[in-house]
Order: sequence, then structure tokens, then C-alpha cells
Amino acid sequence: MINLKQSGDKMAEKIVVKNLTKVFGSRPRIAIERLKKGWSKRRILEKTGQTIGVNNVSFSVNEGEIFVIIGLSGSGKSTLIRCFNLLNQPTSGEIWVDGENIVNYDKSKLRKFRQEKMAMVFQQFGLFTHRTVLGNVEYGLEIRKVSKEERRKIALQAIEEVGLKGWEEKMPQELSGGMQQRVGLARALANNPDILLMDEPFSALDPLIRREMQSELLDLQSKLKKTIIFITHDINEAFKLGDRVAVMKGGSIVQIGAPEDILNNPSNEYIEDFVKDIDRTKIVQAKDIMQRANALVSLKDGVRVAIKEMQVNGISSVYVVDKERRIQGIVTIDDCIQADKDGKALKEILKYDYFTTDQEVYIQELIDKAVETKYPIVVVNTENKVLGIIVRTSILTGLLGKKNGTSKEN
Amino acid sequence: MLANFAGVVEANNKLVEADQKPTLVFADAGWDSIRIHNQIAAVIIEKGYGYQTDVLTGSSPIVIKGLRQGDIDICMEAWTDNIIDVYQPGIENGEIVELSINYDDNAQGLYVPTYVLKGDEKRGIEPLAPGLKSIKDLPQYWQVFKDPDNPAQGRIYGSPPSWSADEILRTKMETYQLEETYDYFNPGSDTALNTSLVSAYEKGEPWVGYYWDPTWITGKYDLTLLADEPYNQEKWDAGYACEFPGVKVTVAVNGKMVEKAPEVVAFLKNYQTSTKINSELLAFMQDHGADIDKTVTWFFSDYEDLWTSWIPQEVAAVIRENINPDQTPVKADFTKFPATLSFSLGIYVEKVISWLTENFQSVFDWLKFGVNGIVSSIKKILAFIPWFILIAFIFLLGWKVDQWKSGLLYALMAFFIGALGLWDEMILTLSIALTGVMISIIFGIPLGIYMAYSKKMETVMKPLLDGAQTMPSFVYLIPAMIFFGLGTVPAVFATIIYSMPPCIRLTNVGIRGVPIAMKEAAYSYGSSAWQVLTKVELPQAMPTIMAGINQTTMAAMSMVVISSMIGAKGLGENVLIAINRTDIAMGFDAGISIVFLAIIIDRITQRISERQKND
Ligand SMILES: Nc1ncnc2c1ncn2[C@@H]1O[C@H](COP(=O)(O)OP(=O)(O)OP(=O)(O)O)[C@@H](O)[C@H]1O
Ligand SMILES: [Mg+2]
Repeated sequence: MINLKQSGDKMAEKIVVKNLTKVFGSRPRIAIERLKKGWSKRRILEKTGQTIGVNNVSFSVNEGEIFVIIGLSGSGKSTLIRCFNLLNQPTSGEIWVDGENIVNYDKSKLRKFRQEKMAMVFQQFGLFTHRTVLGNVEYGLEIRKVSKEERRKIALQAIEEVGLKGWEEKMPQELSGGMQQRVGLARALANNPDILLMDEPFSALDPLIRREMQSELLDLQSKLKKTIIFITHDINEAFKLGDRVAVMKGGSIVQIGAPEDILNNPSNEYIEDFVKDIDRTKIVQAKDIMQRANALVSLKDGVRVAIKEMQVNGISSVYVVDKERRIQGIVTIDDCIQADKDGKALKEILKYDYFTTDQEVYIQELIDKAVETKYPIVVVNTENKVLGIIVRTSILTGLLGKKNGTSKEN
Repeated sequence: MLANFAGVVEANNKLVEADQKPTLVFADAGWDSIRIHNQIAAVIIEKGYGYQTDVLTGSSPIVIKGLRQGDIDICMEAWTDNIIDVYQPGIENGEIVELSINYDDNAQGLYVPTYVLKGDEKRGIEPLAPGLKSIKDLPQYWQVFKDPDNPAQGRIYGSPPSWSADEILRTKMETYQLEETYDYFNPGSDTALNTSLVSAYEKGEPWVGYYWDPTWITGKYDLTLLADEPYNQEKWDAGYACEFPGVKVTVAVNGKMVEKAPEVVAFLKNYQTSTKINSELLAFMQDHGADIDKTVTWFFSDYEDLWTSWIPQEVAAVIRENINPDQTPVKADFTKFPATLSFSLGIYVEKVISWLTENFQSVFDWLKFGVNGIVSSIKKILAFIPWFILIAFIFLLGWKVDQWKSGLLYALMAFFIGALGLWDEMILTLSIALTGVMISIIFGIPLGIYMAYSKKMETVMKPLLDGAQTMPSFVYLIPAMIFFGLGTVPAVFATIIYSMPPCIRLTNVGIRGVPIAMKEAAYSYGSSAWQVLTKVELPQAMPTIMAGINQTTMAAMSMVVISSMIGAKGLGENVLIAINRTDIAMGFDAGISIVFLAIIIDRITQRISERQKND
């Protein structure tokens, strides 16, 4: 397995959360004591009437990544994300943003922080029904006392960015759900925050619109490179959007990792259950199941070398590359033996009826190709260099959630 | 069979009549002295002659009508001159029999507290009008009695509007040319007149106005009747250019009484008191918590010579025995609430209010000055605008908030009010109502916001607001009157108390109704609390607040009309006068004008609030 995302350089940490706990109720101290004694969330609720929203979580979010938090309803996702802009005041713990512990901010620092560093997109949109689309998008700038012309300019740009050009003067109620959430997104973007907090922003939308919005968010993100904390209870959404995913249960984070890590190494039964109903064809990408292309022949090697490679590896065809590992074609063992007799060069017997694919492609799209082709699928980068190959069986194992050929299930 | 049955019933009735004497019904025309006389006579009649008694209450012309028709048997105080229209025909056709003159040495006229003339050393009051002796001296002293609503003139408190003295005094003012220096101020009712006199007296302020004797006030306070020409018919007929003649206050009974209760008639023929006795009784009653029973008991012990002279000795002996409280066996009657457990909450309220008036007079004066300023500026502005421009403005406003047809309708209504000759009254009513509404909004909205923000405040305010709105609106007239006297300012004050609750209530409802998600969104963008309030909560709550303002406006309109009872000028005053004179035409004109004005204001404010909602 090759995991490029994880093998990258260590990225700068934008947000660091340390031992964060949030208790709802009038006597949070008692609840915290009991927590330390190891009482369960339910027992604390029954005995003290205090609700544990978030229980002692620590993690960090890297600059420029989409960090997804996923969990069942009531697991504390909203409670956690609302701690980041202090809509919820944490009961204990620290939240460091750009090297400052925001938990200790006073009123004016907090206001400045909310105005400049973060913007939130809400599940139910939270739009101002007494303002036009433009008025909504301008809101954050207005609060920051940006001049009228300036904020108009910025707002119009943000509206255009989310594809709502021409709708500026409409009232939010006149828009469809999807469009309303675009307004919500534009309102957040207009503020040009470093960090976007998105609490189930697409949950209220129907599946088609939702998929569209997800793609658009990814497009936007590739341009804007914000740090995004994104909450969802839809695992497909989590794995599609997330650079890293944190799984929450009962107020705690039970696993953090890249999507495929979680998929392939569910750390406990809870996550396994969670992951079970996932549509893997939409999660597993080419890069997750490709194998290293051990057997490759160079164009300048002779037919004989090709035959030898195939015999050694016990395969019936082999890919041919140039000296930069750029794919040139494929040759079969039969053609090679014939060519050896006829004295033909490798170049003359190259075949081109193989498939190539990008490493980001989901296996959903590879299944058809795998069925059609006689040869393994080649994974190439943009310069056509060979990164690996995918044989039919690895698509199958990928679908079943097996890792490196060894089954975890059964 | 049927006839037979009827016969039995009749026979039974006769039996009852023979056994039991009929119940005699007294007239209670609403003032204290008649009640005292009723009670005195009732004690004598019940204990001495064994009749039952009862009381019917009504205004004085109404009880005299009842007396003529036989619903009422006895009227202990018929002020004959004041009710001459109903009384005289009754006498003439024998429906009423006049038995005696209760007293006729009473006086009416313009009174001033004696300290105005002589000062009061104990209270540190300087004599403000030492040379004021007669009514003719009044013009020199108008500045002493300045009218708070119109400081360029003095104010003479006039008679309650239905009384015959009203007409007489107005004419007298012309005759003596008092109008040049004084406003004749219509106090609205006798209660209001009392209050204005008492509160002026308690504060040691100058006061001049109509009053009469006997009353508890003349018994308790030191008042001086301003001298006038001695009564003579000729002068009286020439514009009342002399003092009031004494009014004959008679004891009158229904014609059938002579047959029905001859011994009672014989007793009442002797019934006679005097102004002095009446004043003493009334003052005693005032000083003893308005307790009539106590007063009457006191009368029976202190005026024994008087009442025993009315009746035969043996009857007096029976009464004396019966009214001795020691001999009355105490029977526990659990159907009645024990009197020993009763107390009056009002007394404490009264104490607080009098404490306030004593200690915060300057505050009230200052408020009075401010409110007066607002009302008179609004009045000036409204009066300055030519009538047709105001109507055009109403048309345009109606058009703008609704459609041109509505504008036209409202303009026609306003025109109609003008055509009835009530334009100036409308302006007065409007300026008081608008001032009230403005102040209600200025205080009501912040209070409503505070209430929405604070749970505690809401728990305190909710019952207060409920109470304030269910409390009969008349009640607000009393504190308004005590703090600010009579006239425009107390009217505004009462209007404010009555009209502010809906504004507070609906502001609270509106702000509380703003979705939390919206507020959180605002906070998450770094808004300050003030920004959330002004940029999110208030705009969101605006339709509800506007509905509240609409209700406030309507409440203000109704209160301004009622405030005519404490001397607010305008359309309400006309209604009040019409009621007192049972003048249907005048009442209808003023009434319909009020309705039209209310419709115009209601529709316009309602449309504005609806438009807010639809935006
Ligand atoms: N304001 C609050 N007061 C008291 N308890 C709260 C409050 N907000 C949340 N909780 C409790 O905290 C726990 C976590 O709730 P939270 O809203 O964070 O869950 P969630 O994961 O966002 O769920 P969902 O997917 O339904 O939005 C729940 O038990 C909830 O009842
Ligand atoms: Mg949630």
C-alpha cells in the first residue's frame, strides 16, 4: 500500500486541542470529578443531572486540511465544533489557535478572533431572513466596520464564487435549500477567515444537491486552501471530503486518521459498525489498492529481457516504459516468443489495448475497466509515469475491505 | 280549578302582609350624606317600627324617577333645584310627597382654602392672596391660581358638568368678566373635583373653585366661601350676579307611603338636620375610614336630643334599648365573612402615594412641566397645519400603506369629524394620545427588551402586565389625579400606564421569538451584544413590535377618552358632558368622531405592521 497523503511532510498545526471537556448543567465540576473517577456518561447524567457533551478530547488540525468529525447523533460533534468559536465555553481544557489559547480570551479579543479567524456555516443555514442575500453576505464585514463600497465589492465576489450571481437582491426565503446554504458559505467566505467551521452544512440538502455541493467545496478548497473543520454523520461524505477523519462516540474521539486508515483498520467494533454500511466503491481509490509494478521492461531492452521478466514473475504480459518510466505499451509472452523467432524489436510488437488510470480514481469506475481488459490496469501520474498496477483481484479485495490480501472479516 | 288555586295564593299573600310589614326601599344617589341619612332613618324604622329596609342605587335623576314609579319609597336628600325637571312633575301629580325639609341652610359658590387668604404659620404657608375677599377680587389674583395647562391665565375649578351649578357658573364668569383672566376648568366629575381640592390642600397650594356645603371636605378642611352680592331674584335672573340661594334639600317619599306606612311618614315629617350637623357627620365619617355604621352609632349617642325629638318617647325607648351594642347577642353567622378579619389593601397604597406626593413633589412638578411641553408642542404643530393639508396627509398616508381607496376613506372620515365641528377637539385628543403613545414606546420597548433578556424580569413583569391590562382603566385616573392634579398631564400619565403594557409585552414576545440559530450566527461573526440587538433581534422582532404599537395606540385612544373624567379636553369631554346631560345628539357626534379617529389610527398602524411582516 502506498499512502501519499500520509507520507507527506509534517504539516503546520493550525489548531491544537488539549484535554477539552464540555459539560452542560449547573454543576460541571462535579461531573468532571466523576469523569476522572471513571463514571460513564449515562451514570453521571442519572446521578448528577449533568450532560457530558465532550469528554477529554485532544487532537490537532493541520493548516490547509479538511478535518472531518463524524459520529452518531448525540455523540458531541456540534458541542465540540462550537467550542472552537466559543459558542460553547469549554468546561476545561485548552484550544490553541495559531499559538494562542482562545479559551482565555476576554470579550473584545474573542470578538476580534471571531471576526477575523473563523467563520461558521450552520446546518439550518442560520441566515437572516430580514436581509437580502447580499445583506447576509455583507454581515460579517459590516460587523468589522468595513466601508460600504468595499464590503459590497467583497460580498459580490463571494456570491459569484458560490455561483449565486444574479440572486443578490433576493430574500433568503425565496431560495431553495441548496442555494440558501451557498449563501451561508458565501457569508463565511466573504470574511476571508483562516478557518471554516462547518456543522453538517449539507445534511439538510437532498442527496443530489449534496453531492454537487461536496464537489464544489472541494473545488473551492483547492483554490482557497482554508483549514476546514467539517462535521457530518454521513460516512461517505466524511471519506470523500476528509483529509483526516475523527470518529466521535459518547463525547470522546475514538479514532483519528486518514479515511483509508479508518476504513482498513477500524480500531474497534464501534467503528467497524460505522464503516460497515459504507459504499466502498466510492471510498477506495486506485492508489489504495495498486501494487508496485515490479516487472517493467525498458524500451531499449530486448525481447529476450521481456521474456525473462515474465518467466521470473510468472506473468503473461509486461508493461514497457521509457527511461523516465513513462508508459509506452504492453507486450504479451506469446508475441515476444514469436518476435524472438522473427527477429523483431520490442517496439514492433507493442499493444495499446490496456487501461490507464489516475491514482485518485475511485474503484467504482475501475470495476468496468477491470472486467473488460485482459491486462492489469496501469496507474499513472500526469506525466504518464507508471506508479503501479491494479490486478483484478485487488479490486475485489478492496471491495471486501481486505488488507494486503489477508481478510480481517470472517 | 285554576281560579281556585289563584284564590289560595292571594289569601296566602294577605296572610303574609298582615303578619309582616313591607320592606321600605331607600334611594342612594351616590353621595355620603344621603347614605348617612338613609342609615339613621333605617335604624329608626327597623328598630322602632319593625319594618325591613333596603337600598337602591342610581344617579340622582334616576332615583327620583324610581321614587315616582314606586320602586323606591324614601329619598332622604332630594336636592330639589338640581333635579327640578323630574321632581316637580312628581309633586304635582302626587307621585311624590314632600314630607320635610332636611336642611336648606346649605351654601354653594367659589371656595378657597383659608390659608390662601391668611396663611398658615404651622405649615409655613404665606398668605398668597391676603386681599381676596369677594369673587370680584379674583381678577387681581389670577397669577396665584395659574392654570398649569395654560400659564397665561388662572384656573377656576368648575362644577361637575351635569350639575345645574355648571351652567350658572359659566354664565357668572361672563357676567363678572372673569373669563378674561381665568379658564373655567371642567373637572369631569365631583370625585375629580374633590381630589383636586384635597391634593392642593394637602400640599398647601392655592386653589379656587366651585364647592358646596355640607360635605366632609367642608367639615374637615378650613375653606372660605368667597363673598358675592346678597341673593335677590332680580340680580339672579340677570346673569346670576349674586350668591347662590340655599337649595331646599327635602325628605320625599312615594305617594303610596302615606297608606303603606303611616307611622313612618309621621316620623319623617319631623326629620330635620342642618348643614352644620351634616358637615360634622361627614367629617367624622371621613376620619373613621368611611365607616357609615360607626358614624351612625356616634350620631345616636351624640345627637340624642335631636333624634328623640323626631319620634314618640316609647319608640325612642325601644330604639335606645335595641341599639345598645352590649345587649345584642352575638350570633355566629358563618355565611357572612367576619368583619373582624377584614382589612383594606387600598389604605396602604394610599399611604405610599401620599408619601410619594409629599417627598417627590419637585419630581412631579418637573414631569408635569416636561409632559405639558410635549403635549402643547404637538398640539401647536397639529393646530398650525391647515385642516385641508392634514386631511391630504391622511389621504396620502392611507394610500402609501394600503391603497388609494383606503386613503380616501380615512380622509373622508377626518373631513366628517371636521364637518361635525369637532376638529379642535380631535386635535386635542390626538395630541394627548400621541404624547402618551410616544412616551409609552420610549419606555415600553427598552422594558420589553430587558424583559426578553432577563428571566427574572419576565417573572416579575408578566403578572404586573396582566394586572395592568385587566385592571379597569378608570382606576388609573386616581393616582394620575393625585400626582398631577386635573387636566392634560394626568390624562397623559393615565394614558401611559394603560397603553404601555401591550408595547412591553409584544416587544418581549418578538425578541424572544428570534430563532436562537440566527442569534448564534450573528455572534459567531463577532457581533457585540448591541450589534446582535440592533442588527438581528430588533429587525426580526419588528413586525411583532409594530403590532404592539398598534395595540398601544388603540389603548391610548380609549384612555384619552376616559381621561375626560379628570379634565382632559377633547372629544371625550364632549361625550362626558353629553352623558351627564343625556344629550343624545352631542353624544353621538362626539362618539362617532372617536370611532372614526380610532379607525383611521388603527388601520394605518395595522397596515404598517403587516407590511413589516411581509417584508
Ligand atoms: N445546550 C445544551 N444543553 C444541554 N445539553 C446539551 C446542549 N447541547 C447539547 N447537549 C447534549 O450534549 C450531547 C451532545 O450533543 P451534540 O449536539 O453535540 O450532538 P451531535 O453529535 O451534534 O448530534 P447531531 O448529529 O444530532 O447534531 C447530547 O447528549 C445533547 O443532549
Ligand atoms: Mg449536531
